[in-house]
Amino acid sequence: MKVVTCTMDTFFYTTGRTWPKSVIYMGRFGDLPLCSTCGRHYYGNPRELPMHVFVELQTTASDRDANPPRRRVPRHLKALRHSRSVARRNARQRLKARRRPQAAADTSRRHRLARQAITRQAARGATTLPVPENLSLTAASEESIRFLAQLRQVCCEKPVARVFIDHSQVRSVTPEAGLVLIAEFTRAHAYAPTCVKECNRPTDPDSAALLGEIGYWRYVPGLDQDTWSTPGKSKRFFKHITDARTTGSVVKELISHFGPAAHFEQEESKALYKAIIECMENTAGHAYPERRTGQRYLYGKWWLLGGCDDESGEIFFVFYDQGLGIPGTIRARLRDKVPFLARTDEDLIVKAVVEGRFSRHKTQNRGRGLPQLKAFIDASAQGQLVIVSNQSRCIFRKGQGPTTERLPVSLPGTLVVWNLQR
Amino acid sequence: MKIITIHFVTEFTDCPGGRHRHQGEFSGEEFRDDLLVPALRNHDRVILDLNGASGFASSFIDEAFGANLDRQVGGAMVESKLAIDLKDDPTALRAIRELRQVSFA
Repeated sequence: MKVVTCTMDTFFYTTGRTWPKSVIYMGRFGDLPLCSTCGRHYYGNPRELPMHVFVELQTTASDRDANPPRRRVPRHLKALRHSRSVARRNARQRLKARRRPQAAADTSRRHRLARQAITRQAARGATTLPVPENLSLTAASEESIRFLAQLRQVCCEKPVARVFIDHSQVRSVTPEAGLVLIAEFTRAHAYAPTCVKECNRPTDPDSAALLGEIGYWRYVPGLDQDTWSTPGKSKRFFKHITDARTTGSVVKELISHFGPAAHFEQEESKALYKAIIECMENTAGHAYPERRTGQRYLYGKWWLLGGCDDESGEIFFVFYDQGLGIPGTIRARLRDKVPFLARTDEDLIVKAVVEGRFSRHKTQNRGRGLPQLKAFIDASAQGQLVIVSNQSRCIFRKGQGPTTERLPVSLPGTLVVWNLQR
Repeated sequence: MKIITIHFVTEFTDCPGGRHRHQGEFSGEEFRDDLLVPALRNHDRVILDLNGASGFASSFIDEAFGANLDRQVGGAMVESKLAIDLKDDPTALRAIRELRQVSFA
């Protein structure tokens, strides 16, 4: 007689049979049910047995074939469970309506007005957004950041029915600007999928090829193609990667892709690996605020890109997240101490990267992530680290002091660019 | 005396990740809980060969060898049993050395 652990209700629901009283009262001591959990024999009224004991009825294979277990819930119990769940759901809805009747009315009015605005917009035609001629975030970036803010407004925060992104005037695009554009498209697709986005390709073939190689045109139907390399050009890019987890294999693949061109020393490749892993770790742990309704974040998400120019010997890696930014995160965590540690956001970033001082944990071993971003540049012969976060841009070069700049427009999130010169 | 050698690259991964298990694969928490702590509890001497990995982030090192390891097995056990062999990453070696007093091969 086989005994397994189960509750009486589960026995009933899985076999469709009631608890077998006759089995319990069978004659010999050895036939009594033996609990496999506590090892004791049980007998007596089956309704009074501990909840974890039951006896399997079918002791032979022929019995099992003759009486296969029927997995069904009795009709009266099904009806009872349904009515109870309906009653609970109705009670929850009544409670919610009692608590915020005014807010519910406002929400419905706001939704109605938004739908009307989208309908009027659709009747007028698409909103046109011209892309700046020079799309860059590491130099002369005010126009580019304003364009990104407009794109976010139109495609995500207050989405319109149709938007036309005009790339015809684009003369030059830097890879990090392309990566941030991709991130904005990703967020727009997630939060406003009904907003129809139409684009045209830049007339400049180099810009079109650069955006194609990094995977930008995949987000616009009809404009992507299999290969994007322009003949005679020496720039090579790794298609952008995006995820919300810390994945070492992705970083290893990226580094090994450019290994032959970069001629990385072992120390350099390890420093780069650690720097990117730290960026992913910071994004997953600190960059994004706590989830609240109404906030349009892709929580934990990051974007990564690599590229090299065989002619000039330049190699670069770009990492971007759409979180609060380094100054925003530090100020949120260390509100009381920030005025004593740094006066401006740029000083905060410099102290965090150079000294690694800002950890909410009191142990001396924490707060060492951001200095690893700079360690890669220090390990290489000639390199540059650029961090753009909110309204701050900081440039770190090997052997030189950091250069900081206050931007007129804020870039949400944190953009990290490593540039090496071979 | 029971001695075990843990080859990090072959028995765990050559691409270590971040700090916590829920943030990604091959994290410091996963390495500590699944490999290091059982080895320390069941053996008298644990030799940890960390050579060959792509790199160890500071968050990985802190989670794998830091205060949480002390909470699970005790600092005295770690210092008496654990020996670390890491020759190709002096930065990580320095970080582990600053974190705790263990013997190094």
